[in-house]
Amino acid sequence: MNLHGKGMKMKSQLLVVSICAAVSSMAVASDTTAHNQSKNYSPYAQSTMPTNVYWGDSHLHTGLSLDAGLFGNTVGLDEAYRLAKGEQIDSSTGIPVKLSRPLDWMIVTDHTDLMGIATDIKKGTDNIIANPKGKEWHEKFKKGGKDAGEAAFDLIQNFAQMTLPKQFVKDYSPGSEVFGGVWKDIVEAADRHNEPGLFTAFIGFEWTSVPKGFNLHRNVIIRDNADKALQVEPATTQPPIGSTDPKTLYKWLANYESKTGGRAFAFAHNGNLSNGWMFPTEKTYHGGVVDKAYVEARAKWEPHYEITQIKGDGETHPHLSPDDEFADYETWDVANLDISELKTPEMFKGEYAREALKQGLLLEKKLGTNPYKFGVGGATDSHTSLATAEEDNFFGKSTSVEPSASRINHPFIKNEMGAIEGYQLVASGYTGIWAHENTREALFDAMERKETYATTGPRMLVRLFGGFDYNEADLQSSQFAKVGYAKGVPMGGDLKGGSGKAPTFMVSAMKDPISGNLDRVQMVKGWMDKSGQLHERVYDLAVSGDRKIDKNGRAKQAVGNTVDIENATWDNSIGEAQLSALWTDPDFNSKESAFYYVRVLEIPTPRWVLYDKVRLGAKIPKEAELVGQERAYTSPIWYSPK
Amino acid sequence: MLKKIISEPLVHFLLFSLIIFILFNNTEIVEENYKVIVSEGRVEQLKNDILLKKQRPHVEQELDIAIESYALNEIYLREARELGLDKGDRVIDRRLRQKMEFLLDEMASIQEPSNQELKGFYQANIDNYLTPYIYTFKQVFISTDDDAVEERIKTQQQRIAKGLEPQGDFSILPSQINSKSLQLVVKDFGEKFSQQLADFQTNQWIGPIESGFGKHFVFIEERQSKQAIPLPSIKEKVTQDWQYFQRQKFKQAYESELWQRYVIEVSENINREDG
Repeated sequence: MNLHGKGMKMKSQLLVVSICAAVSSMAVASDTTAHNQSKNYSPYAQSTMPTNVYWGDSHLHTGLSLDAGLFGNTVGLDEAYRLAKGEQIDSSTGIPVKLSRPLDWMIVTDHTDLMGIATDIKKGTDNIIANPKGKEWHEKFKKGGKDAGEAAFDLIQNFAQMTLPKQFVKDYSPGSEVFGGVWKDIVEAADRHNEPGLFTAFIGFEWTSVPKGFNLHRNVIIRDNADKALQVEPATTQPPIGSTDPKTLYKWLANYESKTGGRAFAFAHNGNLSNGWMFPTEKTYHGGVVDKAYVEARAKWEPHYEITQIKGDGETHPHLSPDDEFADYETWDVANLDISELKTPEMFKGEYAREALKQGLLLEKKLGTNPYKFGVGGATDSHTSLATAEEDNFFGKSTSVEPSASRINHPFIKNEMGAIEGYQLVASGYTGIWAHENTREALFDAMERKETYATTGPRMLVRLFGGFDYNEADLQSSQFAKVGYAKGVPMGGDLKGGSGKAPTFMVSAMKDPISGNLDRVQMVKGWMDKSGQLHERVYDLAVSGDRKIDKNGRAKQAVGNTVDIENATWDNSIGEAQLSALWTDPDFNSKESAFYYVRVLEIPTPRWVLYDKVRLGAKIPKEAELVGQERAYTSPIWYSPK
Repeated sequence: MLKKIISEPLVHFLLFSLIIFILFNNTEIVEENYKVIVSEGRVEQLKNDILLKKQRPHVEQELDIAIESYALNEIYLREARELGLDKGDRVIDRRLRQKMEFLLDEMASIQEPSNQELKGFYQANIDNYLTPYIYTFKQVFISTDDDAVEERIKTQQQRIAKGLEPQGDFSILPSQINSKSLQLVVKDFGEKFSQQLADFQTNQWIGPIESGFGKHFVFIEERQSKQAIPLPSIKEKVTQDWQYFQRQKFKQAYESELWQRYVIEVSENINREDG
């Protein structure tokens, strides 16, 4: 292990690890009183120090989503949760599927519109009972077993033959008021599968704003249980009731909170398909101005951003970060979502997270609030009900592209203007949340305070702390996390004080036990100079093997590649299991606002297309990338001269 | 001969009647087919739509327009169905399949199990209702990124032999694990490491054990084995599992009923011969 701090290189030594005080279990005695020492003896009592990473998918569609259903997804809510919890289920195309490891939490983010007749028969609502046939069905359902089966068959036959009682046809024709039982289904399923301490099932939905093909989608996460969530109906985008303007979503969120006393926020994704409209700096798509009201609302309601997922990685783009050789990772830069307007270079500025973080500094100077001060996470956005983000276990974007030899030939979208090819789909990603327990409250609060990081699928452990007083001993301490919190802030935090001193960061990353070794750990810094110019720079903090970090803070030598293209295998003979570093910003200027986030790169491993080639005999177009370096992005730590 | 028949008045009459008959009958059919009924309920719904859209009651003309456009839409749909455009449309086909699945799902999940059924199900699936292994242990990490791994391990083994605690490398992995279920141990240390814990004796240093990170010395202080969780305390979960199982069964039963009603005929493809 090589440690690089202040330009120094240190070989790690064997360290006496204090046995009785573990990193993961130290407590921050937050509000305990000091006068009774024995009462405070147990370090674990009352502790809310985040000691665990909880892995989840913040964006998943089941067959309830209209588009998912139309693609043939017949896997429902219960099955989706059971898969996430580690059970084996069958996919819509009949393929048995299981995750490599269970997830700790999930947000099902479906669209809503459905029929409600079966639910009403089950309940025996007045209009059902009033009809003799309805009454008969209700009673048979109540009896259960064979009777219920018969009634089901009879009902479906009548439904298919259009011989349902006339009144029922009227009551249950496709119109929002009758097809509206879905929200209830979604909310109740989440409550049913929410097991505090073991698995968190958040209530949420996707607000699918896509005016003229410009992707302005937001997911909504709710902190509360069904009692509150059922007091509202989810926000929609179709007029007259809904709107595609994010301002109306903020209004919905404010209304939710004031009406129920609960908490909720929104997070966007796929700025890369918005043609510059995701992170506006002057005018919004909907004709608004980026003014004080806009930046305040955006900062308040969108503390998180889904930086990587199936439809492309959103960290940065080579056009924006020409000096970053790792910038061209799984980027989708052809056009907007439906390829109705091709991409032009000036659009990138409003599309990628790193640039948005930079623009946020400028807007903060101009308007007093940084609208783009967000934490980051990864999600699948699968429409298969299957939260699969691993390259060797990837069930695709929709049911139509579940594993098969020919799936690679189905373009995601193609028209006369261009195409996003099937091989460009990204087997990505998940969100790691640092929290003290696995509950809706603890995870929601951690997301809101931005103590999260995104990965493109693997579950590497990444810790980041920033402060002004860390030293080498802290980095090696058995109480790493405790010291980290005591002397500074974690990812998502704000550096305070320092009186002009350059900040120091403690970073430690550990590989996913079943994935590739680590290539390097990097710091990405963005800042605004005196004249309001925005800059970015990437520093290598620790690299594997004997490679050297030069005086510019970079190790240009690549880690190598062990991928066997014939067999879709690789080995961990290169890279390292763990990389740590103590790093002080060598170019710090206390008058310049800045942000710092960590990027962790794995050694090269096969992309899903290579597994398709080897396992399914798929013919891979030569343009397709076969190998990639999976990665993690942490939420930033910000510095402000104020 | 043919000429003669054609000029026969009786034939004329019959032909004429036939034409009238067909025309008359067709007119009847035609009239039924070309009628769009806009029911009272539908009109109410259209009024409501206007109310929602405009936030005020409708004026007569608006309602007329709404009815007209509703009717026109119905006419289009009817014409489309007449032309068979709904046949073989994958979007429509999938939507129909989806609707069937939704119906089945809803119908299947309505039942509550009797106590008897629940108990039987619980016993039959008791493996799913055991407490997990629970571990309390210490862990010392030996990094394999560095050189001389074997030597360093030997040094630590010697310490253990002398009754001392082994010393390890820094890592952000927890070194003390308190009362964690096997599932949570797997989360932190991976499957490979965790499965080995079941075999070792407690209260002594063991290892090195391999994980995806490197090697570890482990001191298991406590291992609680699996026990059945009493039914009353997990009744809700068992009920849900029972319902999940019933739903799968229900769907299978429905499908097997369908299989019985239908005959599947697969046309033998000529291509098969060369296969």
